[in-house]
Amino acid sequence: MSSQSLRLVAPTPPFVPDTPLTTDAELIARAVEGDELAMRALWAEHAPRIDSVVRRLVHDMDEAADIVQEVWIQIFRALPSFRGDSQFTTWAHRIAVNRTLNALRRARRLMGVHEELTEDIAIVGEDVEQPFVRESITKALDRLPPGARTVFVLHDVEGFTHEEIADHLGITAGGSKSQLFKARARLRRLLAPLMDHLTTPTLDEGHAASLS
Amino acid sequence: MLHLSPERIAALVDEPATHDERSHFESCSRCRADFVALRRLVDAAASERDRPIAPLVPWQQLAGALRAEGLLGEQRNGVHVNAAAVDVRPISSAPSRVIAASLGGDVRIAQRRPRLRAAGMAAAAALLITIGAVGGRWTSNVDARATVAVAPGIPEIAAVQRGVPTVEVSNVSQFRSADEARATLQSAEEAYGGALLWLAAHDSALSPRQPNGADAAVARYRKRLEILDAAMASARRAVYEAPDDQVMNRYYLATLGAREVTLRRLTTVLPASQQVLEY
Repeated sequence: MSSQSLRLVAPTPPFVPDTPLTTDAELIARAVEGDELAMRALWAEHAPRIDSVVRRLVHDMDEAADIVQEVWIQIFRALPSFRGDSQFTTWAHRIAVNRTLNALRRARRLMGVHEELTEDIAIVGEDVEQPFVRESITKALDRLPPGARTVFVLHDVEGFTHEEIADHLGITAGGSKSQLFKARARLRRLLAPLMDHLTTPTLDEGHAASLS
Repeated sequence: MLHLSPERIAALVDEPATHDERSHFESCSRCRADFVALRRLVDAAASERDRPIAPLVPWQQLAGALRAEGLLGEQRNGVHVNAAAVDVRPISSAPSRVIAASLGGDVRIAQRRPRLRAAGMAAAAALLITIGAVGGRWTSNVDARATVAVAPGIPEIAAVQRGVPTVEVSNVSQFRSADEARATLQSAEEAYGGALLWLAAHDSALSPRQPNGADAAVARYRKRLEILDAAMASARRAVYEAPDDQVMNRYYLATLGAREVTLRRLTTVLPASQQVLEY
């Protein structure tokens, strides 16, 4: 993929103290004692990642906000049991995914895992502008059935394996694959003008290699 | 010609193609285009993982819920401040100079030794408002010389002016206790955070839909990040030198929040082919 990267460089050298200001471990120790500043610092550092995964799994913004709040309550409640075996961000992310899936399951949203996919109408026009590609993908995700959306987000965005997804959702790995491929195909239809705009129908080396 | 099903093509992003399927791709431009588009889609989805989104829950709301759950204690490291006796006048302040330098001027805030902490608190409040004024000027194209009135109960602070910027704090004596001053600071912080998010969400001056709007937006957000980074450096230094200082910690977090919002906005105006790899 010939993606051009923008590398931004700060104009002044960053301040580097003789000793680290704070680490996650120090913040966690203070947060366990109920220190608001430490808790807020942890939240500020990790909230973007948590917000992202919850929002992508949950269609409704208000519901996503409620779940995010529950996630952070659970994170801070479980904080004394955090042993540092994994990174805090990994641990918190796992809580976010589990909590979100539990919430969706409670709301029976994941019943839609085997939902039939209906006819799709492209959600973007021919005059699509590149800056809106990401927004279009997000909108298209909202058009997927909850189950298919969950499998797609967990596999293609969050990097879970089909076995892990099957374990989370109580389905088989084959069922996860089937849902993923259907979700991809539907997204491709929903985003047809956009993806075609970005695509030249030739197999470059990378794509050809991925077929072999 | 029979084509491969969309689901099968979607599967081939992960799975090896059979000999027959590879042969088909060689001769079928439609299936080939579908495959390439799906490959792009999966790549784009993977890049979504680290793309931040607008915050779903502000800290103030979450803090309230945490308190209700008994998970958040009282604030520690509080600073006892007799704000009623504070008088602030121009002399030098390193963090202020960082902000002022970006506007081509200097900010001077007086300090009297017996009232150093209170003066620091007022200076931090002034800095918060100054950053807000700078951000607001870019966002709304309002003349930065206008006086900025902040949340009710907060002293009015004359915004930085071009040429000879000054910061004045008046009505400080309205506070009767440290708790009252701290509550006002909290209120200002919430108003500041809310206003910052609102400005970020209504940044019409930086709309990528305007002619050359995307390039202009990227340039402006980069400039804003440069200045916020300079402010962050001062804030980090201040927190490092006074790690228990509640005001400086708040200032640091506020600056961090402003930087985060700006970075998020930057990611929304970048062309799809570009992403911020490092900053």
